[in-house]
Amino acid sequence: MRKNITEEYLETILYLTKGGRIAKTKDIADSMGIKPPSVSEMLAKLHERGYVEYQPYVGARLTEKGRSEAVQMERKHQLLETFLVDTLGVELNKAHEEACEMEHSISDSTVSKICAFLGHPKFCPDDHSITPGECCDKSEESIPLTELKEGESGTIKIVRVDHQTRDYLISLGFLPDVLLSIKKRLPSNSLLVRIKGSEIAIGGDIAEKIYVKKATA
Amino acid sequence: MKPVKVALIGNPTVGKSSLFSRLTGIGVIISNYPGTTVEVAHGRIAHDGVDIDLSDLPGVYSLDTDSSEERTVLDFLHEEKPDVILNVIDSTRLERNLYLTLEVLELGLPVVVALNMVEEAHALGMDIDAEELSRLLGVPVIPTYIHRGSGLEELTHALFHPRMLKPRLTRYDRHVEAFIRQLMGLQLGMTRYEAIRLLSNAPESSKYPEGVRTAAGMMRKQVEQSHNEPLGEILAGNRYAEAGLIAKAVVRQRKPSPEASLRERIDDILMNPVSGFIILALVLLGMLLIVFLVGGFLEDIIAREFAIYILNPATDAFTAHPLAQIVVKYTLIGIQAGLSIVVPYIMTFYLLMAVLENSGYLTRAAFLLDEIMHRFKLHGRAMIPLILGFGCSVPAIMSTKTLQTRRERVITSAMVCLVPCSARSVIIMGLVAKFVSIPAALSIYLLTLILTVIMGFVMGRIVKGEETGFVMEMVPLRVPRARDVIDKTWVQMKEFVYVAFPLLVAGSAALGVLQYAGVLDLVNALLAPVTTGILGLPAYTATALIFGILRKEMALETLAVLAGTSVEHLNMALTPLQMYVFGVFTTIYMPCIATITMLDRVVGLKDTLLITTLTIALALVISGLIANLAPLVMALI
Repeated sequence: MRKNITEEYLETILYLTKGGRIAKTKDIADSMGIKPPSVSEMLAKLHERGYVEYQPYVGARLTEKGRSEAVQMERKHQLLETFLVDTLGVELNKAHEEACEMEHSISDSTVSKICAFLGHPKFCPDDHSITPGECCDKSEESIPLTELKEGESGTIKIVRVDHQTRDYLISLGFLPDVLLSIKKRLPSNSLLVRIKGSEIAIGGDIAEKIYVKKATA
Repeated sequence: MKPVKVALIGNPTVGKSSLFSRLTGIGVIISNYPGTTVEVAHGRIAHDGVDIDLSDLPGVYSLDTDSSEERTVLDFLHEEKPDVILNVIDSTRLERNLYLTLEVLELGLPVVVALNMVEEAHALGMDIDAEELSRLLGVPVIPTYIHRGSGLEELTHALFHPRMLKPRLTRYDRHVEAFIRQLMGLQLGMTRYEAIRLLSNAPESSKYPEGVRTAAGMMRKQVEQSHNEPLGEILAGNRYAEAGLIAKAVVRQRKPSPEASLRERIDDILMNPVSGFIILALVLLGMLLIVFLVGGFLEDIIAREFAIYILNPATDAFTAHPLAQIVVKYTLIGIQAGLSIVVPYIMTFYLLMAVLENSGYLTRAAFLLDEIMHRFKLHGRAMIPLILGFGCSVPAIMSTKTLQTRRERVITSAMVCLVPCSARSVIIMGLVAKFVSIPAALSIYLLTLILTVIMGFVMGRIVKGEETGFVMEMVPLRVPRARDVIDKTWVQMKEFVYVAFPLLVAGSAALGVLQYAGVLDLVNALLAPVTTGILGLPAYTATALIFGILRKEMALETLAVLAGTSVEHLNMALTPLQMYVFGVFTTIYMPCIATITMLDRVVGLKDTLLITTLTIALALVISGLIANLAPLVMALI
């Protein structure tokens, strides 16, 4: 099984399952231009390798493993597309096609370099948001909030939680470049944070998704 | 003259409800625990012959997320169209509170700001210049000292004469401002607020024509791309920047008072990973003991006196009319059951909870407990109802209303139903501990503990719904005021009395009639395959178990009556194994009527039925296993 066919499938399923739907065999076949029986056969293989959950006649959705692979591919694609369009001035449709080819051969480290070159963009030319990669976090020298010690402070860089929690956090003042300090931390990484003159308790699972830049005392 | 409609808006725990009850008299819950005022409370005051209709809205941090509280507030503003908004802000957390104020000013309604907790801010070393704040915000700002009652007169006056100066409107980023102007210029009569909402793609945007929505969408995209940030964050950032500037201009920092640093030290001890947990364990244990002892003591007195002075004389008076006698007797038994739950357990519990809540300790407890609870994919907050459950399931389930998501409420309520409440403890203690053995009684507690944990674990995985992480504002420590505590206890008891009491009384009367009509004997016979066949209990226990639904310990009392003996001599009628099985069954099987009523209010009918069925099935399986396996095990030993 060729690597880039697997990757194409995962990307297509990721695209089709946005919004929590299940990807139907027929839809996958249509959007990839392949006959449904071949798709079913391929899905069964992907299922065996742990990339998708596949039920014949119902469809497929990505497993955790498949999803992270697909998200990485999508990120590569979007960064390449951004690079081609914004930096080189390639026409959008052409950029999309070529990015589709290049994404399978380009290495992770080169993608990180492109990402850095573009200044860690958050949106690609067709306005979809680009999933931040490791390099984006490092570029800000940001660390998860949970890595700050009691008494230390930092400024918020990225808050990477679900939509609802993020809105709630924003209304409490958790915005980029806002200063906060750790007042208490419990063994399981639950934190008590001082921000905007009030104290907010945050569970460890959320705290580790808030990235901050440590302030030098 | 038409009453003036006033809506109270503010962050959670800024003393909004407290102010409300000072203005209107009793009638609303005062809390120092975020998310207590879930519904809107109403009250009316008269002033110089004109009425003010006050509505206390749930505490919110902003007006633009889709949380249920914020939706309630926006819906209320939209439907009720208040004449004036009374925005209550907490001086000790000025900057964060001003964020909401700025959003409220954008609504375009007359606003009066109540600057609350001024003396607390003063103790923290913050002096706030109210006049300057009023000048900067462009609306009247009235400092209030709730427990001295000062500022209330000025506030009432301001509500009647909300001078519209020029309210301060947040200046957003220049791209955003340009688009707001463009949208307002579309000849649709859009206000600034509406333009901002449309630009942020708020739910009500669907009322605009397709073309306008598309245009707004393109504007949003353009702003987001040029800033590399979602619009919501840009707006919030601008508002916070503005709030920060205003706060800086009006606050003068001094050295905090010694009282404030003492508070800081106490807080430190309360949340220390070692001492914090020890104190927490002591507080919870203490609370349980108090409710158990005080509640049990009061319950005894109430039930006995009620029987002597009301129940027995009334029953005797109707000896000539058997049916009337039954109805009267069982109605009174219902009232007796209600009184002996409400006053001793619910009142005691609420008093203690109100103290914990208003002192701010409850948020600290929730923070510490999150440490344990997140293993069940639940929040620290979910632990509070479970602990309350040892006292009485009704307030415990009522308290799940403070949990954020429906999912959490359902899971926690299901777990609460398995926690042995004090009424069930009466059975475990009065029957099993007394006649079987104390280890046997303890084994029932252990069993239910294990079942509760399993229930939480299983439900945590099967109940679908949003899983939100734990984020909660830590409320400043305060000395709870007696009046707030009493007000709150009263309001919550009132809820129970109105909701559960009528059902309890009606249910009891209906049961009496059923018994009179001989239906219960029929039920005994019908259920015999279960009671006798599976559980190995006498057939009449079915009736006892049915009465147990009214009030759990009534199962025990009824059992004694049916066995033709008194509770003290039940061991003559039942074998130790039967008593043990009865104890286990009554502990697990369906919640009492009062609990079911409360469940229905909190999680809805469907899940109430589900939980009830689940507990009955669980009780049957567990006690059935014990009844049938125990003899085998005994034989082997």
